Amino acid sequence: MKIAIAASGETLDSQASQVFGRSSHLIVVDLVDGDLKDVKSIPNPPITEGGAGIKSARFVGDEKAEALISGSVGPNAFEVLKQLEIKTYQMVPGTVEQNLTLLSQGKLEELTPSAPQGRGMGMGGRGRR
Amino acid sequence: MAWEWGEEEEDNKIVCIIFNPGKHLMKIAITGGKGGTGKSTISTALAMELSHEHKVLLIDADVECPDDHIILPTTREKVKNVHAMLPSFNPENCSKCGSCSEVCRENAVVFIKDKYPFIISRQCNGCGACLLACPSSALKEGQQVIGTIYQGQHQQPPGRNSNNLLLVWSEMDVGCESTSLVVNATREYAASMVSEYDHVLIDTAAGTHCNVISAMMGVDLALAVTEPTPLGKHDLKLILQLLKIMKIPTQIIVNKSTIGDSNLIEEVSRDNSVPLIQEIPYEREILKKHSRGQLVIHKTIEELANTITVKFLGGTHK
Amino acid sequence: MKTITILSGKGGAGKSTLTASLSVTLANKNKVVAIDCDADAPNLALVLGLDEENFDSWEPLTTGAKIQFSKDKCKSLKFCPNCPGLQKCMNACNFSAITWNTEEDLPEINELLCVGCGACQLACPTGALTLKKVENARIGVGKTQYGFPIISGQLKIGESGSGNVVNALRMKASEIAEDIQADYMILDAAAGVGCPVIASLRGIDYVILITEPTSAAFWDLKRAIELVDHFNIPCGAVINRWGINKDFTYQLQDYFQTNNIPLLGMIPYDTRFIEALVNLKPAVVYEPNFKTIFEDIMNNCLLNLQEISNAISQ
Repeated sequence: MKIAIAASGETLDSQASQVFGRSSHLIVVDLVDGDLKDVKSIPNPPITEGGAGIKSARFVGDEKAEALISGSVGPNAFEVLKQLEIKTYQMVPGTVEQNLTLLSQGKLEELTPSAPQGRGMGMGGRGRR
Repeated sequence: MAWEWGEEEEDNKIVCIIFNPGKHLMKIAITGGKGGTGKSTISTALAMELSHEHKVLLIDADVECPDDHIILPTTREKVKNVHAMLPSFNPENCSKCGSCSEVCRENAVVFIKDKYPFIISRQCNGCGACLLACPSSALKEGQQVIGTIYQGQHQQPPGRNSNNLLLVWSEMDVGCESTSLVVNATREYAASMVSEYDHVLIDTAAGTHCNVISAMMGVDLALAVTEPTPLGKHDLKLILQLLKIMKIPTQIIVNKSTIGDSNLIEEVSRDNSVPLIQEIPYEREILKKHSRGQLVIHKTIEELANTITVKFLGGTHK
Repeated sequence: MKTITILSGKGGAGKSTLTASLSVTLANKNKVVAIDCDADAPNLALVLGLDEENFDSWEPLTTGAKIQFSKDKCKSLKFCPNCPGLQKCMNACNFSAITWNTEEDLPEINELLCVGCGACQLACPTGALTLKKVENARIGVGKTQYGFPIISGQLKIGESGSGNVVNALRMKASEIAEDIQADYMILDAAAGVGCPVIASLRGIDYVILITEPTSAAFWDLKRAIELVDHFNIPCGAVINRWGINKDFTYQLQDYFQTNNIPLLGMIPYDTRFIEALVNLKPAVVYEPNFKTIFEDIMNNCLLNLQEISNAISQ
């Protein structure tokens, strides 16, 4: 299964990126029986126009990935991923390889647009309306 | 009158407006560049004051955070939605060439090879370039709602004419980036009623970009509201630059005049030959009313209304 | 590195004041980068006591485009004077930037309204209209005397694209943050909820909402919160000038509690804040007694950020 992950560098040892649209690289791998094959790194050059998330989502679509691991994903990028039927998973602080392993073990949470992306406990979580 | 906005023709035009006021409905913009200088406080207070003798249309052109309807007690009536063009896609005619995506400068049209393109509506600014680029008529003009226009009559005390002050405002849908389209639609709607009114006031947003440019297109006079601080001075110079480019005659109002250093503003007034028309002091009473979202009634507003009436609207001293 | 945006909706609520004093407070023990995300009327540098001349360098930005008209290529001229020109360009423009000059039978372009979308270029059958990149802003990096850099920009008056200028500012700031290994990036957002503000919110870790106890500010705040929710960003709140209306302050506190927005701190109404601005010093530098106010806000903010991080890691 092809997986894409937003990264801060171009190798499996790079840190997974907290952001999607303006991450420096997108890394695509083929997850076959728990093994990471065909590692491909795509530079994600910064743009001054809006729509960086949409552009990055297009790259993911072009690579025919079925899933994406990322930190925050903006509402527009989310719409693109939804249309392309690409599932998104919440990254955890760590390397690209660590995140991919966790995904293969089913230990990453799915990101949905309304899912709170980390809510403060104690000082007040988020649950409005 | 020492405005030096350009060639003789422009100066003559300005002179005309001042000395033949009855023949020309005056559109006055209240602007400033800096946020929090008191544009809405002054716009609503001035509109109220002028409405004692005349029929006034107040347009709140800050469509992102409109405040006038909070300060001015009015009815609240939804007029209509504001629409922007949103392409609608017909896959039957589509050849999957990707031209639509190539010409889109907003990254709103997503094209993945061998798949049908789709449009991210929030990112689309309605320019229509994709429709023009499509070789197979697969895109048609549709629309999306980007905001709502409201209006309200000011609730006058019994005995006073309730039709003397109308407020028109809009709320852009949060998350949209089409501020000027909503401002334009609001002004267009207001323009349809302008003949029923003696004066039109336009309360602009803070800033100096398209949000404010659209609000001030074609106005006859701008009142630049500032405060006597280095920040006020800095932003006043910027808004005066814009008003000069737009060739709009301008007067300066110094709000919160009793704080800071008024020399800062007097300097700008002299350097740019833009007259300082009114000072409004920083008073606890005004602050209190502002905090409660209440209309400000103050002698300086009366003075301002009087000055405007005499100098620009061909009226007489009260 | 954590990115924090200071947002209010309402202009004049105290964003720059909070950004400046919070950045100074953070910079005591952390590496900080501050960005003024109001490219129309940037004030943060002034609040930090920096003048244009104190900036190391100013770079021109070309993030905008405008249409340019070439009279010789316009077909309408070749028509007989009794027939109107095709007017395809004018009909294609959805921003009212093209009007028709009936005397000369030529399009007239209002540069102030042109957004550079290129629709008219596509509509024109003779290539008389071309999009040209224009220098629409400049950005600069300045070193404050408080131990951190500030990135600021100025939109060329009359040009469009303030959202893109903010994006460019953030790109520059990221480069610098990378160089100095910054711990925090603080963004001072513009007023409103439009494109420059949206550009200050994409991909941000945390938002500090600053408001004052007035009806107008409260109404605007709710719009700002709607936008923050749209981007699903965790946030906390600060009430500024709380002495001007005590009842309203309690109302605000209740509102935040009901809506699960942590109240990070309250700044009192005090004329010394105005004096600080007039003297071009961050409030916390002008009046050392204000230190605790901003330290409290900082500590509560960092605590909230930590709780959020922990929640994600679990």
